[in-house]
Amino acid sequence: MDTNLNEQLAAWIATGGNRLGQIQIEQSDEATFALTHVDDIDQPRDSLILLSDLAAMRAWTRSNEAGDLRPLKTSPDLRPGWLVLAGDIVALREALECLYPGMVAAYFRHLAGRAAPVSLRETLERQTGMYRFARSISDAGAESLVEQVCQNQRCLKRVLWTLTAADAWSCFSKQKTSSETPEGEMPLLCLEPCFLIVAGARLTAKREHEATEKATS
Amino acid sequence: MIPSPPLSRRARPEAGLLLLGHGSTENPDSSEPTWVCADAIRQLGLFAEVHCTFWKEEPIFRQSWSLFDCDEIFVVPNFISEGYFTRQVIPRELGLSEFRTTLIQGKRVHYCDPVGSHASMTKLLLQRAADTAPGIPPSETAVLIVGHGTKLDANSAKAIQEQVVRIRESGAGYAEVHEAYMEEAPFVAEWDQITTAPHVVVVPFFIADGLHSFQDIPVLLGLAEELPPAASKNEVFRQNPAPLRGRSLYYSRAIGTDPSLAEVILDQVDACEEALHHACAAAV
Repeated sequence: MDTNLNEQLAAWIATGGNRLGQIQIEQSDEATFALTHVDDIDQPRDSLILLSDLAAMRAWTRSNEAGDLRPLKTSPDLRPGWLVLAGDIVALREALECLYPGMVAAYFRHLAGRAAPVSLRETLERQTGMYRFARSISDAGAESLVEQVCQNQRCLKRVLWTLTAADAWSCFSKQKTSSETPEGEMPLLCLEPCFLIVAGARLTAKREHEATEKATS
Repeated sequence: MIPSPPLSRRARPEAGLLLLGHGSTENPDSSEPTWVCADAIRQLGLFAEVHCTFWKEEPIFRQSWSLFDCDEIFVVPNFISEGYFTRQVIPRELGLSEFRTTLIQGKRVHYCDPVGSHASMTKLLLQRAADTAPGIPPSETAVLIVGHGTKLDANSAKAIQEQVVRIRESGAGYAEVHEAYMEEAPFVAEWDQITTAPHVVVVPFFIADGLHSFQDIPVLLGLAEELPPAASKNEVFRQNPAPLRGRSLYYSRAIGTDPSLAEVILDQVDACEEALHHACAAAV
């Protein structure tokens, strides 16, 4: 039987795991684990704002320092200045899943071979309603969209899905499309296109269609 | 004989609960009611695990099964009505079958009805109406339940129509109870023609405060002339009543922001389990 996610997270911590994206995890005197922004590692703990529950964490991660909404929690603009204390591994996982939704599960399921990437074409093919049109996006349009939406300046996740099951993105570095990370770091894995990509594909496909219509009229 | 505890308090320590929300890339308040319900139910300790996934926020619907370790999961759409999302998008994204229970990646997944369709939602609506206009006699008050409405899906209005009937028959004593919609008749913009009572309580039948309940509907009601900012930055509509068109208009927050929504979610799990038992009994 598989070990559960909490046990896998505990094992990862025990072997030196201490970082996800912009989050640093440390053993703590006040609680079992202390989470901070990586920029705050050297800050005195009492200078940081304690986020004491999941609602406070959600409120903190909702917007960036400019006050703009963060539709992706893995965008690289997580505000510093906070502290989360987790008393046990269950609380630690809850906090991590709140700050980076779905990322702990994605990592361990992928590691266990139980979560495979799903290609952009497969994702678009199953869309219905207003997003049905997204499937007509060109390969070049898709590459351009993905480069724009998924680049590290917009999202820290590693893009493990491709256009089809058989190809690779030429717009990204090898690191951006790999699950390998420095020791102690848990990669943020993206296993299939998100809502921003699906919505963007629809808009791109519409623009491409309109350009073709215009050219032939 | 010792009576069994209410089903909504019955623990399912081996099972998980998945709440599904719409979410939004623009409205900061869209997913919060679903998260709040998940937090509340988790604290009750009734399930082994409680998680949320969304259509337009992370974690996305497609990540649902990776979040769970347990092998039996109840799925409750935190949606108001049966319709495009509950019948097409969610089953497609989650890999659900046409049956109430689907085996997915070795897990038994039970698909419950959306929260808005449960009879216990009536209690919430009545409480919200009373809280929004405290001390105002129901006999002089019209209650207007407002939904989105769309000509694209005939089922969209069904949940509201059912609730309107239940409130009328509840014995609460309201002078009038009506439905109204943003995009189909009867239109919420004509609230003063739909109702005749001197006091009118408007309850948005939405899960979250956001573009519709705190921005679009106030404009349609005549409470605001232009779209105010999103709900979390907005205090304009917390002051009731507004004297408008010769009436006293009371406007409430979206029904899904009521903390008691967690109870309705648990009621839907009970209803799902009951339906499964009946199906099993019928098959024997």
